[in-house]
Amino acid sequence: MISPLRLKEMICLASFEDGKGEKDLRICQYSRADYVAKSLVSAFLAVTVGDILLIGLAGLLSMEVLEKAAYMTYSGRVIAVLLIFYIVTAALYLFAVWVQADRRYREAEERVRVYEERILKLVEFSDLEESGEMEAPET
Amino acid sequence: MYAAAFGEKLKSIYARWAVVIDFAARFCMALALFLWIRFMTGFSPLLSSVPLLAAMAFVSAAFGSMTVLVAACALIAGQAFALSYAAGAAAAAVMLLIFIFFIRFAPDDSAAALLLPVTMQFGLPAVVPIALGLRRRPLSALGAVSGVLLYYTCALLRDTAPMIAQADRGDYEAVLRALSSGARVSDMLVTSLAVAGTVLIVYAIRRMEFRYAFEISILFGGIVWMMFILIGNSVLLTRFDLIPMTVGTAASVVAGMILQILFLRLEYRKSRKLRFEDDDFYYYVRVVPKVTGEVSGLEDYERLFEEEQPRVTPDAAERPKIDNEELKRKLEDSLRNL
Repeated sequence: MISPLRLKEMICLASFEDGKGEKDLRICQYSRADYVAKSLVSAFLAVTVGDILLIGLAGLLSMEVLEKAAYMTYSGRVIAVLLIFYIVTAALYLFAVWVQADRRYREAEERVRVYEERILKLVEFSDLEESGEMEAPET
Repeated sequence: MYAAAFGEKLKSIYARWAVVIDFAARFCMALALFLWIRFMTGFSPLLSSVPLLAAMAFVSAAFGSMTVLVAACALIAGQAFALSYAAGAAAAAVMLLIFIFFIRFAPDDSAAALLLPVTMQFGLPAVVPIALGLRRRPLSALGAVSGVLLYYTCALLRDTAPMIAQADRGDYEAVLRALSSGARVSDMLVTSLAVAGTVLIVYAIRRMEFRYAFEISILFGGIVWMMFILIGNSVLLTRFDLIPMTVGTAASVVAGMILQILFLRLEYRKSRKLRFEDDDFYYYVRVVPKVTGEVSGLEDYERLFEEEQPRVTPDAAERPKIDNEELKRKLEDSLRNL
């Protein structure tokens, strides 16, 4: 006879693994520092590509700016402005990604902690059931 | 009263057919967006073929909203490449920027990016921001802003297509000049700010604990939207037509109210099919939420179990609790056996 309580417990765990839990368990494979570092590395690449595209697009779509930039006298100032733009956007972007990754890890960690506790509880139920000390509740 | 009863009816139907309804909704959303892209661009006969778009919508809908968004971006870039290589490169760059700067931070809100261009086309631009503010979080505004960028990219391609078509295929400068002259940067900026402002104000008001907070937040959402449009017209000299915009915003507020009554007030939960096993059995379980139940997700199940404690015989109750370490060891053993 399958205990309805144990069955519900297993449904709950399977439901977690099938949904959000899959991603959470993947996140919690890493330590927090590793997960945040991994996110920052990918964010750095993304923001570099993004800034190149953004500057290129802005330059191409405003031809006057591009023509001005072509003069040698302006090139030094243009490069300085572009560098400052890149540093500022990269810093903001990396900060946002750091906050997001840290928060995501904390949330996932909490859910996985509950999940692991419930696995232990399931084992406990199974033991009690095997030893005949737990009656199946009326459903 | 009738609306609530109708909502309950919808809820029970949804609980029963969640998988089918979710897929059908995503498919309709994808098809509407793809047809809108075809309507706005339509430069490539191949990418404008309705059977192909329907097939794309069907396949991408099966994988989720994010895949639909990727397919839509690929479609826009493909249509732009058919017009001109330079236009295609510019469109592809914009699509990439959308993913890097917006979707990365709100991947769960890609559906907003899909819906917004279509609602803007139908003159109901405030519906999506109001719905996001009612149901989601402030960061969801990024998803909606992505939709604004998609809309204006397609609008730019549509507006400049005659000029680009006249230029020679290799004359990239002429193409870029055409794109540069047709870009409605101010309109895009004002619409993006209006979207973000509406989401934030609706979210902020609906979280306040007073009567009719949701209804008032919807109303304020509409007012904020119009304020941004008016400020844009007077300060940034945008060219929004005020009468259609006012009518559209009023209609969006009404639509928001209807959504609130019929859908957003109720907690719809999905039925799911699960498969798991223990030492003795394989279990194939279909979990269908009760219509009036209050249980969803792991934390809520936790609450359910707190209420429903196992009945333990007196001997067992007196027995000391099993040590966690021992449990962990047993768990490892059982996993090893599996």
